[in-house]
Amino acid sequence: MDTFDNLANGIVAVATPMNLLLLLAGVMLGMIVGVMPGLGPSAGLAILLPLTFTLDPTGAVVMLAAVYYGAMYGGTITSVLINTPGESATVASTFDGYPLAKQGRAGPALVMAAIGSFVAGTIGAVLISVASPMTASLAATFGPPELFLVVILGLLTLIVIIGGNRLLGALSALIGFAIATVGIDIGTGQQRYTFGSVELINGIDFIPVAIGLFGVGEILHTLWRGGHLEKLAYFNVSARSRDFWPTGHDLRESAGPITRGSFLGFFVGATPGAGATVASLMSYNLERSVSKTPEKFGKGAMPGLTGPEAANNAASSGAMVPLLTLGIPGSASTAVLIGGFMMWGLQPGPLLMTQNPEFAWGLIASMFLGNIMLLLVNVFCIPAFASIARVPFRVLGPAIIVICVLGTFTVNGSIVEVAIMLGCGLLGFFMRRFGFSPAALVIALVLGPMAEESLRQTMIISGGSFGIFLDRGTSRALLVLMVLLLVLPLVTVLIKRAAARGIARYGAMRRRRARRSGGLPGGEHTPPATTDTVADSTDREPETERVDST
Amino acid sequence: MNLADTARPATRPSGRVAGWVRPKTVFLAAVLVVLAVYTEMAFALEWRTQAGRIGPGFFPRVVGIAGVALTLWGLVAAIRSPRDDEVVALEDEVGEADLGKHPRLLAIMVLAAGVFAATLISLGAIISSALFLMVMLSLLNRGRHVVNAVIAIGIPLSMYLLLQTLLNAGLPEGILPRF
Repeated sequence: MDTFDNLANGIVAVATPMNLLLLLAGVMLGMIVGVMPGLGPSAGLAILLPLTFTLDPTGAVVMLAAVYYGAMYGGTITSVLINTPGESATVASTFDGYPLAKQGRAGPALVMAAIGSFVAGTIGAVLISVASPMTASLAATFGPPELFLVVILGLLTLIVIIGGNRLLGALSALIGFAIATVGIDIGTGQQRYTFGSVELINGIDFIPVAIGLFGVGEILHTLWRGGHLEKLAYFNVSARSRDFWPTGHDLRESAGPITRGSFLGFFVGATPGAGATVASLMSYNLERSVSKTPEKFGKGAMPGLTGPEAANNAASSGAMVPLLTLGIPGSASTAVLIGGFMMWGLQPGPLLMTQNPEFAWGLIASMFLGNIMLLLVNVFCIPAFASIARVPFRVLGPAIIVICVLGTFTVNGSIVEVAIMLGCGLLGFFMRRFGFSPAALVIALVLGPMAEESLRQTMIISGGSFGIFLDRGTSRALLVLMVLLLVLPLVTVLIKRAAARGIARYGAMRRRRARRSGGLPGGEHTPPATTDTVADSTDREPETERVDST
Repeated sequence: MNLADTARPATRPSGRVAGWVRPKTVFLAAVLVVLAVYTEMAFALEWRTQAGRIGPGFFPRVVGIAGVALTLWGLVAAIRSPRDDEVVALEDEVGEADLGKHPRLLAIMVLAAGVFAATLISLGAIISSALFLMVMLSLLNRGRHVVNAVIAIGIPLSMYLLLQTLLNAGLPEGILPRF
């Protein structure tokens, strides 16, 4: 009952006219950022962070959370309409979203994606309401040794699961740790790496680094690879058209994928490091494997869009669990959110739900209200957001640099921070170009002080002995988890093969059953030809094989 | 430098370049130098305090040594397999044509952003932003002078009204009076 009471109190706290306006503004801004080429949720959050400085903590975090899930959906619009994912989490949405648009079904695709996001967001919010208090009560038993191990475990998970080059991922995290050591040493008060600069005594602020890496870095990378020359091929969508709305068949065939994607996405998202990208790709693979008509995937299958879409939105809810209860950001976006929390003096972690329940539950409650708002905004404003997606990068790029510079300056009125931001922008460009992980750097920058402080406290408790990590039961369990995580890449191949075999068997069984019960349902959909294709110069079939290799 | 060339797709380098002069190797070498200096400075800090607790140099030394070791490993790997040089992120692979690489345009953008930041306080937020936008839009959005002028004036003005006039966030006024 406590959960429901707390949630009800949270809803009451959030449901003020001001907070609802902030929620609406956050959702709208998030979607605008999401549809802008080259900007994802993390960049959007980092750039919009300075806008929330004059707000009260609850209002500010409610708005930032709304920006977060608004941006997660915004990327879907560009995936479907111009075959360009705003960020990696919506890559899977291009596989069937764009073919659906090519069939003249952009409207139903976007509405179904919005419905999928809504259902997944709501399921995610329910699960977070249940999982957060449980995780928080478990985490409340953690002492400094366990907290230190949890921080390291979070980073290890990020590096192991993030894929790509693990060596460079680990190096990125170490660079983040190194940046975090700039400033006054909390134990002795001695200055480290300040080079006599007064501006660096308090350390390198997280905001300029995040804005630089995600905002400026992305713009420079897009410019470098010719984003300014891109000719956008897009489809018009009009809410007035009858074909804008999904059919009953769309709803029926998406029910299963949305439900599966929601649960899969939440649990994958709750794992630090595995985020919305992994969840959406896993969901796509799962849906194709269990589908009665797998041959339609990649050619415009609605379940191929709604499943990953639900998974990526549920993952953003799931990522809130380690953030709220352990203070561990599982992704770059939640790292920016945690930076925002800290700015208002809120320390996410086991004590947040007991010391600041109105804030923690207000945030969870805002997810319920935000999802309703997101659905309404999505469905009725899709054509408006689609038109933003048409603003070319050659205009957006310089404008975003201006927003980044002015936004960074407003944080502390410091030109040094602007210089740091631009420097990090350049660093972000090179990191993206050479396969480093800006997300790992930012997460390590946030976790660095926490790791150092908890290790220092651990050493004080143990009198300088590292044996304390082996003496305590929970620490031992965490160490075992770490070892398992390190051997995970070795056994992943075997697990993947076994899982693929299992899912394929299940899919084959479903197809056999469908044949026995009178043929496969839902023949080829004949799309209406009313949607206006404005330009289509970069048509390309989605490469579904890529999912397997990811 | 002919700026007109900057907006055209550049050709990919086709010749074989030795592993140690490739861009990734140079970047890793730069990271190695920075981390080596960081580690050297960490050794000037105490490992342990006189009270026997962790000193200010403990964490930086661990981070520095691990960083140098990993960078060396990465550097050797980059020299031995130079084909891994071009890493393309997953989202870049989907739906985007190869439009070439534009290092000169990138350099101009970085330089212009540096000048923008350097003149932010002296010229003020509106003027320096407008100048930066004018320069960059004249390069990227060629021939659309009216649109470029409207954007170059409209965006800085809107940002100023939002951040300074509405939120009182403290943007520099420079040579224009505050409003």
